[in-house]
Amino acid sequence: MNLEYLQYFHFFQYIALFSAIYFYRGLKIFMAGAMVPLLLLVVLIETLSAIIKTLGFLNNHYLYNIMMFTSTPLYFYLFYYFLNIKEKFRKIYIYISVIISVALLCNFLFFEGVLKFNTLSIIFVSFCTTLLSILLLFRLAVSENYFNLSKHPYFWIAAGLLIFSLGTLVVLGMNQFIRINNLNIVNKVLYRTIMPVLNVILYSSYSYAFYLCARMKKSYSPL
Amino acid sequence: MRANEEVIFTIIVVVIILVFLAIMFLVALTRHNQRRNKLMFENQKIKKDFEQTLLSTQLEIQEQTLTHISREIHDNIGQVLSLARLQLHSLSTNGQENDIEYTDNLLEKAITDLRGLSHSLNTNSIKDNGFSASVIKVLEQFEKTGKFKTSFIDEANFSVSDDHGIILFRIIQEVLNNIVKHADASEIIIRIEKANDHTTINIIDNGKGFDIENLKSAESGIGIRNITERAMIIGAKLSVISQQNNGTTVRITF
Repeated sequence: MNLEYLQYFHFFQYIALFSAIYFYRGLKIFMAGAMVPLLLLVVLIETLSAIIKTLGFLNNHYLYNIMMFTSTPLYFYLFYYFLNIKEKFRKIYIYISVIISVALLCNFLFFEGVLKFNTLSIIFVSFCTTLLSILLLFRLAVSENYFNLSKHPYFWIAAGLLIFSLGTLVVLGMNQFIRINNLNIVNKVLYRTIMPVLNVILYSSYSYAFYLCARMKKSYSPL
Repeated sequence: MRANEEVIFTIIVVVIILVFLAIMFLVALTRHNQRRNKLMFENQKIKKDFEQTLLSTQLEIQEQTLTHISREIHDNIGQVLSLARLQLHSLSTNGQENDIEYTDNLLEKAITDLRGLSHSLNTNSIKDNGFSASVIKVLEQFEKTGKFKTSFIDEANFSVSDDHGIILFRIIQEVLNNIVKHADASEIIIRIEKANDHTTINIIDNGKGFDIENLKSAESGIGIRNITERAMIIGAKLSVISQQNNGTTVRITF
């Protein structure tokens, strides 16, 4: 089977997954062990989506919708540890995370639906990840510990996510508008140019962060 | 077609601007972190330098005081005792020669002990004799008491500057005092070794040893802190190895 829909950025996703598995011990020390199931989910959905497209099924949106509401709780879980939230804010953070995850599921099941791309969800998720990434970067910048920011794994995870989320916020947020107005060429251009670049940025940042996790595990300096 | 191009252009421009802003934000954050780290590093260095200067000054004052006391013992008390001894010799009390001889011996011992104490306190004496000779002299004094068997082994052919020598000598003095007071030892060995550009002075006793955890207590901590602070000034590291009933080794590495 010739997977014509498998693009170059997919390989960056595979590299990120393999490095997460390879450097798993380092990831665990940096509370980033949940990156493995998250990347496994991403790789599975993206590969399935490429197979489905190659087989001639045009609509693979339901797969991305599933990925959206399953990966979001994992992101919240990861940031819960990355941000090292103080005790009094922990409950608030957990409540907000549960409410958002349930809202995404409801949107998938009852509002925008299973087959239609969940634009509202992607806008909301991108906004949340942007906010969490900025928060993490801010925490790293004001941390009392002495470390080089560009050598800290959290910096690369947050930086990659920030750039990716800002890009997705615009590109995928416009998805519904483009479809309604039959701007198919626009869709193709955006998905063939911007999204792959954003994916490469995200997954290469992840891979480098995982490598740093393994390298820094002996001199661990959390927030 | 034109609408398509406009939408593509707008979206691409917006994405590029946002990504550019994000990258600028990350660069600014990294710069800020570098500047802050540099500042923190400089502050730490200033603090360390200040502490070291303070310690050096304290030790300098201490050395001056010790030299003063040493001079007083030698020039004043020593002289008075010598005069008392001369006076004793001029007495001619029949039938009490034994008592006079006994008192004379006591005075002679007091003068010798005081001279020894005076020399060990005097910084100039350490400078004049050199580090190794001064340590050997102290060990000889210990040996003379008849309570200790001592040895000095210099495997490194050790030589040291006067300033460092005085600090090392004071550390050894403090450790030896602790051995006398607490160790219940019968043998003391001072061994100087050299390995991989590092010199190590080991002060070993065969005493009753102690639980290292006890060093953390306030009282026993002060002595160790004094020694550690002295070692810090010459950039030396101090480690104590001990076990109950198994002797103690104090190791100074620099």
